[in-house]
Amino acid sequence: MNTGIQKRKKIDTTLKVLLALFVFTVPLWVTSPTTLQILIFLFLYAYLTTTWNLVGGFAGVLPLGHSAYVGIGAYASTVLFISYGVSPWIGMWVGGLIAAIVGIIIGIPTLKLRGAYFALSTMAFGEGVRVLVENTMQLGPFNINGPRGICVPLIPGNNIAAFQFLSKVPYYYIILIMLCVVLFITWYISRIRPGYYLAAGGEEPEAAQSLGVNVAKYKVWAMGLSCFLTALGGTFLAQLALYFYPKQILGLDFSFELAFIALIGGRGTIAGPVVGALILRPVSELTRIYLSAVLPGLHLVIFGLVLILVMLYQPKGLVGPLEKLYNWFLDKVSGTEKEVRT
Amino acid sequence: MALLEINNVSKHFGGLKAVDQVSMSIEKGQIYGLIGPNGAGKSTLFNCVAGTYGPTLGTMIYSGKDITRWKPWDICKLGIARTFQVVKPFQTKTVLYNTMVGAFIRTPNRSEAEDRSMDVLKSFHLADKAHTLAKNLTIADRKRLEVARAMATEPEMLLLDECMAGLRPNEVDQTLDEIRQIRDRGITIFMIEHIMRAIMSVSDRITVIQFGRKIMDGTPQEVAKDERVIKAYLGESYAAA
Repeated sequence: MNTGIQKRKKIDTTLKVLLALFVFTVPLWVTSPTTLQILIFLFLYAYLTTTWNLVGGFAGVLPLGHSAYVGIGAYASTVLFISYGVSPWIGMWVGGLIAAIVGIIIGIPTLKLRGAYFALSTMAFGEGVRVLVENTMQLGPFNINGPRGICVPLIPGNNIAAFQFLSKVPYYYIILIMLCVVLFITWYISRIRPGYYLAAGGEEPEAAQSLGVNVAKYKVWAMGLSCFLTALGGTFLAQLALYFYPKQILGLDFSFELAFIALIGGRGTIAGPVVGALILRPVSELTRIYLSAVLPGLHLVIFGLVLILVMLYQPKGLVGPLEKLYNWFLDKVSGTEKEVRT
Repeated sequence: MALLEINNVSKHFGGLKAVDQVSMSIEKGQIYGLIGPNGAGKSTLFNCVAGTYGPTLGTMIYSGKDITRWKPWDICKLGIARTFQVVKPFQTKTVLYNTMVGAFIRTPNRSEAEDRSMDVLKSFHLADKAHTLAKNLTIADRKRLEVARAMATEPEMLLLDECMAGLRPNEVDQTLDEIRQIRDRGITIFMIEHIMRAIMSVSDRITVIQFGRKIMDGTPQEVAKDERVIKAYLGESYAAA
């Protein structure tokens, strides 16, 4: 029996190492920039959903205004670059800090609300930010150009300091590493006291409070961290696209898509956002490529359908059944039984 | 000096006086019962002690500290743990996870919290179900988990809100044993219970409240004999006996 378990562990580790190798070597044999771009967006959405998940999953509320923090990151690093020549690598931390502070300020009153009320208040906030930006040409010393959006000034050639590259490969690795880091952060948090407190407070706030958890405090911290990391993703998006405008980067669609990905993949799980992005991003890319002329926004309709089906049959997301399938496969090849493992 | 002094505590909801100038004092090591008809204000009083509600009037002194407006988590840190009448387990989590949330209050270390939780689960005969999801437990086990989780916070005082409601007679006996064991470890118990047989046999002292007001307090024998209590609460069958 013991040999079976060892074998199982070996296969498990081998598969995971192979997966990591596969993901990290993709640019060596995928040369099409379009494919790489699709993968980069997949990872970016997985990244943003993972940071969303810190609040939306673990803290048990449903934020629907996270595009605001993506926007804060993108705008902050870009206007600093334009006005003062600050490298986006530094600007992204400034954006992150601003987003964290805004997130905490918004979170303190709103995180006390339950269910739909929190979702609505974050939605209102997200839309408020968009309208504000669309109607503002000049914010203090910075020109944010209202509804027309901002172009990141081009620096010729590959320029690491300016976060600009001619090829997609550096972007691919940057976002892949960012994704790995946030996945690690989520995994780590889920194993320490704040993670336990967040999950407990998200599920049964009264019970958690009576067990010594200051639920509101942990939720606010999670919100701050989530917004901070989300804004870093915003800077990445700005540097990747080199042009962005309020309706795109601050839109409700964007916030909704993050929530869709999390709900379909598995809210409050570590792998859920990645699974969700793997399923939904291709849908959104393919409809955009082939049907955007005839049916723009069709991907949101499809998302809605997928979401309804998932909520009906797998209300905790698709990560659960996939995990079961994977375990079943491992048991099958290594000849172990479920009972032996646990 | 009493461990917990409740002085003239009132809790009003708008015009309703759910708790009206109730006083009592609980000695260390006691099992203190709180009884009264449905809607008498027992759970509201509990919620005041546990910090869920701030009382409208009155004070509560615990070990010489005025805890009247303390928050629930601070009260728990101080050493008062509580259970809920309608149990509130973290349903999607395992039994062990549930108790670990409690154990984390005394240690930030994960493996230490896990060890302490396992010890608690063992003493509540839940160790073999440590990895079961809380939602898959039977009612009796959920009630037991509710107490185990509170005990994982290593309290000095335990507030039990009808922890035996809905249990079968043999399960009630088992719970009574567990309550006595908790008391024997030096933990003071303040409990609400509707099952007369249970509360009469286990309590050192009982307070009776009705319509938010205290009718009397005394030993179980005194309470059972008291005219007012019999009329208000226990009914004619007890009056005859």
